Amino acid sequence: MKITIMDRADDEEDEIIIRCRNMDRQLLNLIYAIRARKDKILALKGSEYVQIEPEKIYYFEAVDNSVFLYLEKEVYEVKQKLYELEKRFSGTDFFRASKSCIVNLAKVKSLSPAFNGRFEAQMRNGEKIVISRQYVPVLKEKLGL
Amino acid sequence: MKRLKSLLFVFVCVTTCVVFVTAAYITIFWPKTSLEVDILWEVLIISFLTSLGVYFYPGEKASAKAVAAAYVLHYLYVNIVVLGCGIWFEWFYIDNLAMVLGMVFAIAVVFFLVSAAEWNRAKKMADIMNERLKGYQKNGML
Repeated sequence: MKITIMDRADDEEDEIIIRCRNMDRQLLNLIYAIRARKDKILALKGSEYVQIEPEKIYYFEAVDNSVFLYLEKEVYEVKQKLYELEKRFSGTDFFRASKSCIVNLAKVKSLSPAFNGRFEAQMRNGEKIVISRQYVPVLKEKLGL
Repeated sequence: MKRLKSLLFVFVCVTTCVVFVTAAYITIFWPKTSLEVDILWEVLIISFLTSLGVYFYPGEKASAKAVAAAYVLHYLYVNIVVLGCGIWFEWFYIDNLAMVLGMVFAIAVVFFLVSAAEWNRAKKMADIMNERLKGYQKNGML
């Protein structure tokens, strides 16, 4: 794929133009990724709202009826449901690791086997996330297996 | 479907190990016996019943402790099934301590071998996934 970067005038907005014959899956993933990275996530810490860049997120976790977003060290609450986040980040680095967790593959250090068909993702911040048997095929597909 | 595949994999492993262990057990404890075709069915029945232990494991929300407890429960279940069927099929005399201990040892060996085979299979897959993960992260995530 050829990439052309052009200068723009000061009064113009940054723009990405995709010229293609067919919109294949790789291209769609690219578009999803650009959109997902552009849109910051609104998260809540105490009573304060903050905007967080998706690439800084390690994983999302649903606990009871709340969804939390984990950065390297901080934890924030988000108001979206897990399935909404899954939809929003489909085609990006995020994948569903279990019914209660969405993991950023870019933040996974390594994978190791766990009991009974599960796998464990060792995150770059030292945390460990269980990838349930049900979602292992999703991860494999993401890794092209 | 995934669990059925796992059941099939375990069944094949268990059957293979049970055939070897049964051969060793018969050689040690029943060296002069002549075997009938029933023994093959008995091996298959025991292998199938013990393979059902894969359904013991809890759902994805279970903690590591719960999974470890299921593992222990699975081992106990295998012991009960094999010893129970062993008595039913008259593989050993319950009042012969050496035979009972031989059976318990055989169960432990098969359980260990099958667990090791399962772990090895998962480890190989994890190694492949880690290789792919490196490539995925190196090549701009797409």
